[in-house]
Amino acid sequence: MTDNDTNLSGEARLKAKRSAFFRYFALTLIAGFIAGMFSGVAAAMVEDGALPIGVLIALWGVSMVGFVWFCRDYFRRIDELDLLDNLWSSTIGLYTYLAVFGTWYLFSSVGLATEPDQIVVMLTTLAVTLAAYIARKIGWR
Amino acid sequence: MNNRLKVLRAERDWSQAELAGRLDVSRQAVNAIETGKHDPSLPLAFRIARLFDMPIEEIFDDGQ
Repeated sequence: MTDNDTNLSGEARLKAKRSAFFRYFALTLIAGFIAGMFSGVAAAMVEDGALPIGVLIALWGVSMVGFVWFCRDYFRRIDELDLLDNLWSSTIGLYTYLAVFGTWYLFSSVGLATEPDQIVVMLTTLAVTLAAYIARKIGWR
Repeated sequence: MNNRLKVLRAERDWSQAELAGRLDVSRQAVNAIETGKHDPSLPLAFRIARLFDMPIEEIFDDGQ
């Protein structure tokens, strides 16, 4: 916060902070989209033998560093209520993962179901995590 | 936990957004505290007390 910010009203400060946050969030989404596209193209090129595997591994490393940096920075920017919303939804997501994967694995081990499909389990986990986050955001605390 | 945040805010004719900006939290956080859905952390409770220039126990009441 600069010295000039202290002269602003609380509403103006909140508005400026929200605008800055959404700009930051939009930029990281764009960066994530570009990184996803590049890694997809690079993976296809590695499959075709047009790109050494080392380049893909380097791209993956850069993406992971960027992802960890974003996560750390995001949690430093949000307030304590949003942090709680994130922690609660992540916990619910983790328990969902354990329940869905554990149940599927149990039934597959006795022949009542197919092998657990990790993509389905992950998408279910993400969907429940997002639903829990939205539920808290709209006030179901 | 009960609190007098809404009353103190109204006395100063501040909106929730105004108070949120002064406390450096979101408007949703102010609303959640006012409606008793979220108990603020100790650092935030101190910031609130300093902003209103009052002791914490005059703003928050744990019913004891």
